[in-house]
Amino acid sequence: MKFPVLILFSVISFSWLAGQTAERRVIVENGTYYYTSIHDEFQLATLHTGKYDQPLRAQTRLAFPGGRNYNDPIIPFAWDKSGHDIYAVNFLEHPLNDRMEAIKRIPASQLLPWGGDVTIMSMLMASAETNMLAWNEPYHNVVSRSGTLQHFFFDIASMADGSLSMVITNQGEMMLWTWKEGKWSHGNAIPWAGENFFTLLEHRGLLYLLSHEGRLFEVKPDALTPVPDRMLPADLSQGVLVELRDENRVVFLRHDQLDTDISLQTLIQEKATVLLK
Amino acid sequence: MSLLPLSLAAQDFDYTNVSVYSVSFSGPDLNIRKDDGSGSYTAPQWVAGAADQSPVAYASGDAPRAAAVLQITCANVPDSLWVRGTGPDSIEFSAKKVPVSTSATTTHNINYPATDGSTAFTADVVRFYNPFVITWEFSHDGTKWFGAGTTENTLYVTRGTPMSETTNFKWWHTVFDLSCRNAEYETTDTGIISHVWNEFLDHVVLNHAGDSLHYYKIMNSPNVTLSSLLKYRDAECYTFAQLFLAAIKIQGVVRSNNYVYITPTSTVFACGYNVNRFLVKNWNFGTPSASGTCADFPYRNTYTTLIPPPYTSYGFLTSDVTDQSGIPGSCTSNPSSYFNNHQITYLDGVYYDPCYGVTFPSVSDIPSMAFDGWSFRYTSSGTTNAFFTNNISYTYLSATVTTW
Repeated sequence: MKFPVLILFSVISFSWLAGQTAERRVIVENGTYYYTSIHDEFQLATLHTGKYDQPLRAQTRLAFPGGRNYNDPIIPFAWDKSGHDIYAVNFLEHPLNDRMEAIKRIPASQLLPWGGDVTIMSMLMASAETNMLAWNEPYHNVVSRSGTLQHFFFDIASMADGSLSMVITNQGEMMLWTWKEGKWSHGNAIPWAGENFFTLLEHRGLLYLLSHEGRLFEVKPDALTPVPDRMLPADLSQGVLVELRDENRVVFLRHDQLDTDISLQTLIQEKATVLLK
Repeated sequence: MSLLPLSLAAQDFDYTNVSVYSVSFSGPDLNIRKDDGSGSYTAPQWVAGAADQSPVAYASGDAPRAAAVLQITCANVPDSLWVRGTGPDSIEFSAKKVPVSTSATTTHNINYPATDGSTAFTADVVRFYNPFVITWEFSHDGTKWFGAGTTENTLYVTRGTPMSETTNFKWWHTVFDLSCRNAEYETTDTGIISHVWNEFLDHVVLNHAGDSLHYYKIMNSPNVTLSSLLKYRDAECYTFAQLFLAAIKIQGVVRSNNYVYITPTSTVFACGYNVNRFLVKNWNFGTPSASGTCADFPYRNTYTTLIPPPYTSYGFLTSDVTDQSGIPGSCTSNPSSYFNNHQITYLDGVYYDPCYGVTFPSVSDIPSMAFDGWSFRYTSSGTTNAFFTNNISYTYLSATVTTW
């Protein structure tokens, strides 16, 4: 049975509100949506959250002690939500920010709205000093094997079993890493010809990867298996992926279907295309 | 107002009534973006009475193209006049007979059409005209000429077509200026690199207006892109490396693997912690207070906020090690100097550090030449304990290379 191939994913160009763009994914669970955006000058992430059944304009914006840089090609902010925690790879450029300490886990309850003492300056310092979740062994492995970064990309996904998956690529190779119970394990290097970013996705216990060109793969430690009949008609730039975790569905919305005066729930009911269910 | 043919003897203007009003340069001119990010400079690039005139840029081998609007103020004007312009280096804008426009007032425009200069800019040579002066003249008969004023524009000529813009590399005004100003008359890649580098040697890097570009004017500058350096004139190391590379790319010089990120290796530990920070000279090592905690890193500073407002100094609560004036940065005598990483450039076998105006033969030479110590830290109950050593041989730097 063939599934609709209308899977399109936007990373940077999707604009929910003026100046706010969603990075990689929108998550909906327990009637609340979550997405992140990146400041267009100071690299810091904002966690946007609001009620699934309320207009998108009615949202809270929380300052996140981390973000991503603007180096070309862009590696979108790698983040995910699991339970009450936000996982992220803090790859913003800052002279005190150690890439080896970039993997963070921060309780969402600790995040505060922008304003008052929560400033760009304070959050940049916090991004460098916040304790890491795990030593960035995946990155260490990459730079140990080569001092040249080319076609270097990564993303993370929190898994149903409580582990954290990270896929990282450099110079034509890809490797899957898993952080579980306080230690890393990894598969072998897999050939990977991608020259642009990709996105990871957990669904029903399986790890998937969406290539920039729009192909869907199942990811295992030593294999990348294309999912049949799941090819996007365009690259990851035409819309937004929405993970409806309460329903175990993943859907897609096009940019031009968005209306901030309408709730995300209504938008999805009326306009979204199902990717996984 | 009537337009009278020249044959009538009733013209009543004197020659001071004609003056140049505006000049527009056009293709194949290069787009120049304003440093403040508000857009690009547009025609007309010269306007009489304007406080600031706009810059112009061409690639060598191309000829400038200029149009001009002259104005004549007179009750009775001829139906046409001859107009020509004379630029530097034998560049002439040929004489053309152009109509005098009708007008509801006594001021009439004379529109000299876009005309290629008689001579192209010498191929493969950088030029910096400051200014590019055109002397405009008019004539009734194409024989006897009268002055109509001069126009002046800063005009840049790049050696080759600039490299294509990217997300972070764009054709900003200061990039043209810094590059052409320093590399004028250069023709080779090495000559261009060498002369552009001159801008960074004296720790005074200036934008097109002569304003200072600061390396950490405030110690916690949040600016990490070339666009933000040019806009705010205060930024971090990444931006000066980008500026140097941009000033080369604008001349069409192509180099890959030129952007080098250096950081302490992640394989060396002290007392259970990765040694992941370093001190750029100068720092004074006082009496160590942590010998019993970590013998190899016996100096300890503590802080809750490393650089608190107003971001002019480190906010150590206790300090065995204190910051001193040392290696100055661009337009900043004592910039931030406690880091995890730094960004430099690599061109033709040389490591250039545009922030400090210094070069290194290799990454391994940097610690002994520029550092006073290494550090690790941990945070507990909101207080960070930073431990230091002044043993420069304790660890070393690793480098990752990309192409900017």
